[in-house]
Parts: sequence; C-alpha cells; structure tokens
Amino acid sequence: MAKDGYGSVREDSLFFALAEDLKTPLLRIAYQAELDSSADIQSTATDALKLLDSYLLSLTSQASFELEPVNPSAVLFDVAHDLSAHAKRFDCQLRLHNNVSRVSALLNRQALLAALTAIGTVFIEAQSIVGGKKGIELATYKTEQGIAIGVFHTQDSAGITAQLLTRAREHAGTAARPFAGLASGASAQLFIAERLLQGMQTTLRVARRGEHNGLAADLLLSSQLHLV
Amino acid sequence: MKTIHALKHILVVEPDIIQARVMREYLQNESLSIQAVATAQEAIAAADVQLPDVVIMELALPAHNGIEFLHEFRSYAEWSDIPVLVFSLQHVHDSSVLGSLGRVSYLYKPQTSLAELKQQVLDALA
Repeated sequence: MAKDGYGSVREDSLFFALAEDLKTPLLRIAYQAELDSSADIQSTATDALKLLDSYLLSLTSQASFELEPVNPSAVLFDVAHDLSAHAKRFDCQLRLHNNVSRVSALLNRQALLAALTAIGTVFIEAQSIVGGKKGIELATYKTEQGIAIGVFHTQDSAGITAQLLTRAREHAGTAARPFAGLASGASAQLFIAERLLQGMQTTLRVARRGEHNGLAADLLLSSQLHLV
Repeated sequence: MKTIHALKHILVVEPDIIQARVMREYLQNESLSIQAVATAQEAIAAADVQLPDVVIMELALPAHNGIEFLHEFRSYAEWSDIPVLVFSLQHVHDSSVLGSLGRVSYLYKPQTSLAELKQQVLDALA
C-alpha cells in the first residue's frame, strides 16, 4: 500500500471521512458558543475546524497542488490576520518582518496560508506554558538559494530545535506525542504544515533569524517570474 | 449593522436540526421571521406557502443535491430573483456552478460566523 511517510492510503481515506464528519459537531459547538457569547469556546471550535481543513488540504497535496505565482509577502499578511485573535487570546505579541516584497514564487496560496497558520498556532500555544514576554514573528527574508518564509519565536524555552524536529519526524505515526516538549496537538499541526509544504516541492526546516528560532521553508524563485 | 423595518421572511434549508435551531435563534428578531426546513422538497412546499425574501441553504441535502434544488427553485418565475445564500460545509471550487443560478452568494460554514451570516442576510435584503 502506498505511503507518503505519514500513513497509508487506506488510513488517509478513513481519516478523511473522520475529519469531514467532525466538522458538523464542531460547527454546532461554534454556533452555540456564538449564540451564548462564549468567545473562547467559539474560537476554540473555529481553530479546530481550521485544523481539520488544513489536514484535508494536506491530503490533496499528495496528488500535488496546482501552483501559481504567489507573492509570499501578501500571504504573510493574511497569516497575521488569521492568527491575530489567537495571539491576543494567548497574550502573545505578533510581529511581521517582510524583506522580500515585489517577488513571486510558484506556490499554492491556500496551502501556504494553512501551513504558516498551523505553525504560528503551535508557536503561540507552545509559549503559553512559559512565563515572560511572549511573541512570534512571521518573516520573509532573502537566503543564498532564494527566499525563505517562516515563523519564529522569542522564547527559547518553547523552542523547536533541529534535533527535536528530526526526532519527531522519525517518531511520526508511532509516538503519541512526537514533539514531546511542546503543547499537545503540536505534532498534528506541524506534520500537516510539513505535508502542505511538500505538496509545493519544499519542506520545513529549523531556522534561526538573529536571536529567534523557528521553522521556515525555502521558496525557490523563478527568474522568469522575477522578471515579470 | 443595517436595520430592516418591515418583517422579512427567511427560509433556512438546513438538514442538521441543531444548526437550524441555533441559526433560527440567532437570526430571529422583530424584523426577521425564520422558517427552517430540512429537505429540498419541504423547501419548495414552504416557499409555495410563503414567499421568502432570502433563502439560506446547505448544499448537502438528504436525497437531493443542493445544486439540483437551486435549478428547480430558479425554474419558477416568481422565485427567480430571490437572493440565495449558499451556507455550506461543502467547498464550491468552481464558482461558475453557482454564478449561472442568479443572485446566489456562497459562504463556507467553517469560515463564517453567525454574525457574518446575519450581515449577509441584511445586505441581501437591503
């Protein structure tokens, strides 16, 4: 049976059906919470729905996404918009660093948005268990190969090291919590993000920007697109 | 939020009774009367009895495809201009499918709050 590193085709079919089925009860919770003005419950249910949608999108990535010229900076702004309420709820400062405006890369906009939102959600929640000032930075920046886009955090104690990421990949599918040092739920979000990025012919890597650790993906620029 | 002065009738076609109840409770006020039905057949019958000002509908309906229902709904001249809000758990990847069916807007449920739905209803009524 075909495998993509995370599970078999049959397992994916089962989880696809499960994810679709879970949307209805989560919607009921989200709407009832909105009716009752329970903002935290509403947003929790909405975040869970986003996770399911990202997972379902990641299954699409196995057949590979339709890629089109996308401005990564514009996606970064959308990610910031999507994460702003979540960051506020967890008392986490959200910053944007955009150093590559006016460039395009061949991407799937929806998949990149979902992947970065998933990573951002993990980093925001990972920092909630530590004291001190909390913050994440969404960044696009130039690299030797082209440009990179990623999410970084200011709390070392909530960090993801290269070793942790490598070990988590090895334990994917077998360990209950491959990212043992992070808040629960993180493994699913990060593996979904990675699978989404793989669908765009890139991958997640541990990165460092100044004092900040994080996860980033290299985006190869097409010279033709660059000229356009 | 815009105010609607005359009582307007909203027909909700939603097979999930819990979502239908919550939508009714959220949307109903002195300006909006809400009738919820679960199937395409009930929706046709309800619209025949009382002309809706706006229809809110799920695409995944029992026994019928929501698109089929919309084609039938639009085939009656008196219903051809009624605004329809497709409020669905199903993704609509090809917007041209709905574009040929008159005044139809699409809202993906997981990304739409009830407040946003209400605003869309009020906009459609304005």
